[in-house]
Amino acid sequence: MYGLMLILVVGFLMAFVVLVIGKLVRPAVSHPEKDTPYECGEPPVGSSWVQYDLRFYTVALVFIVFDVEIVLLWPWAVVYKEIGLAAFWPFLIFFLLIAIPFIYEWKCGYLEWVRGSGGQADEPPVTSTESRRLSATAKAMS
Amino acid sequence: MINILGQVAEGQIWQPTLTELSYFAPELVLVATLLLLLIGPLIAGRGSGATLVMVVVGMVAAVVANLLVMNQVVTGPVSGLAPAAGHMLLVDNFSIFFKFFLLLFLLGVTVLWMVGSAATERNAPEFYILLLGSMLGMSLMVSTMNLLLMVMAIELASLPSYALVAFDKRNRPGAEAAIKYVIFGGTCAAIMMYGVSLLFGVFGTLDFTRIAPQLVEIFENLAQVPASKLALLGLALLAMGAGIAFKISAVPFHFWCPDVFQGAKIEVTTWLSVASKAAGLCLLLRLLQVLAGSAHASGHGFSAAFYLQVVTGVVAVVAAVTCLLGNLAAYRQQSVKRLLAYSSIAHAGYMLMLGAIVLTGDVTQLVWQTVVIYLVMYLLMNLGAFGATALVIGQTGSDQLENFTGLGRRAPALAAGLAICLFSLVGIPPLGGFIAKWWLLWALGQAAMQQMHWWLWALLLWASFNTLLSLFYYLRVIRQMYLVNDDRPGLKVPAGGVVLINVCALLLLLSGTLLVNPIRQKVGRYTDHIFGQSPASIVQVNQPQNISGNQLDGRSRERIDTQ
Repeated sequence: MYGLMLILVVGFLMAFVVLVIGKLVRPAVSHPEKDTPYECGEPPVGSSWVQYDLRFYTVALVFIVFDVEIVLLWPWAVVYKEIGLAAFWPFLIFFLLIAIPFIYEWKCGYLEWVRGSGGQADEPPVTSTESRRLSATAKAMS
Repeated sequence: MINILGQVAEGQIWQPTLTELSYFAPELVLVATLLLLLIGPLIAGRGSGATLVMVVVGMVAAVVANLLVMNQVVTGPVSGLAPAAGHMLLVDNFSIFFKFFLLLFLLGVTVLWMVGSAATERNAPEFYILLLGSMLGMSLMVSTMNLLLMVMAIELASLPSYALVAFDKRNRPGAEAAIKYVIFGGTCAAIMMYGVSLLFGVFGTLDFTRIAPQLVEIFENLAQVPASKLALLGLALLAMGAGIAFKISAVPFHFWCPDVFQGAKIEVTTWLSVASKAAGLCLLLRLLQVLAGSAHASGHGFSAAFYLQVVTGVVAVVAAVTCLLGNLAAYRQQSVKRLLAYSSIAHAGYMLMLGAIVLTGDVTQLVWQTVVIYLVMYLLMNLGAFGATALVIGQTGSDQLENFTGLGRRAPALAAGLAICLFSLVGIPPLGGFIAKWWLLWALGQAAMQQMHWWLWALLLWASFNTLLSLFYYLRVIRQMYLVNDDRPGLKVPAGGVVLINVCALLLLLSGTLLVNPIRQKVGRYTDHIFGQSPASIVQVNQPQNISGNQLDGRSRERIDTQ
């Protein structure tokens, strides 16, 4: 119990004290360059609020489902030879439960990369305030 | 792997027999319906009509399967579908009742959906896939004593609900509500899993019927138990309770409820308001029941174990605060959906009071009967109230209270049905809601008489006081319908919806008058023999024949008499 308390207290203090010391010691010189995302000097292009295409998420979801299925399939495949039919039927059912949604997905066209936007608007352009901020940053850096 | 091969050689790989699988038939039918809904639309088209046919076929099959299983467990519970773990799946009269309850409710929600949005729905198969998915999770929640399956069932019930709330892509409040619901639900699930993993770490088993006796033993020998272990257990139980309280929407885990109810489509709101809470509540009652049974089996009972009283106290306080908060917050609501959301929080509080008294152990049978009656009445009342709100939304476009102005003149049949449902939600005789509340107060009073604890009397008074509080905000809606009037035009409400609401109202009227006695007799059907021969005992009748000798001790044909 005391050991746990010690870890909690010391852990908290270590993080807290270091931050406080940093705050007290460091000089406060503000410079626009320091507020840019990349300190190495790479000028950022565009907004970081990028809207990803929904298709990426669909593919990612499908990938996870089948990835997990592989994980479950692996030990089954290893012991299949010894266990035989007792392992075959449960896995056939399990496989069907995955395969039927897969057929559904295929038929509904979620695996097609190029398809209609489905009425969704295109990615919005960079807003005016955003571009103003960007040009200000560029000016400050030049 | 070596181990597995060794077990294969001795024929020890566990597989469910067909008999065991047959107890699982209602759930299997649900899974088959889900698959049918995925594949069927590719052949029969994605229209609402074709979807409805498939859903109805699935529902009828589920009812038949449930009836068949019901006859097998009528004399006592059956537990199985697990190797040595036990109680992975528990089929008894109560879980059968709950599956009927869900099917009946699904029927009501389907009628609501047909009247409201079936004509314009473009994604009908997906709607029902999600709805049936959450239904599967809820029916599993009520039929398990295993913490692993409990966590999985809660997730299975929650995940489709999140998607259902955001089902209409163009509805921005729905999307916002779904985000709140996901974040809140995900956090609660994580906390619950943490608690369950701590319990597993301490006891080395996930079977709650084995954890409970050890828990009681620890509670009774507090002096010998190191403080760190007690702290760990307290944390684990609290964390596990958080996940269940989220499903019941008990204070302080109720924040999602009003926003989600307001943002979601009204059919989804109706579904969540009854089914999700009922499942969480029944799960909690089952866990507390096992704990109570273990305390009795240990010989000391409730009053000796101080920590049991602490658990009871926590549940009682949560119930009391939930009631009060729900009733007070409902006052100022202008949105009727939000008002009904707070009303459902308050009703969750009333039902949670049963959780407080189930641990006292003396009124077990009465508590379970009350749960059955309360849930059925609550289903009818909420289906009627939300259904009427759905019709008003369908005609006027919003659920603001001002849209209910003069409803008594504009749509007399609708207003009459809604008024009966609202009066029943208050608990005014001679309606079904009164019967439900009467049983609740009776159970509380019985527990108070037998335990002679002042706080049980306080809880009883608190429930009555809250009923009085709730009268006013329900009456606000009724006043708006009948006493406030302007010259808004009459509403042309769909006949199907009006019939649904008035059937609910009629059933509430009947159950409060003519059907009181038949109901009382019928309820016993679902609450007798839940716990085998003696209350709280769980019989494991099946296998496992192929467990080696030392594991067999006290396990095959095992009867865990926890009371």
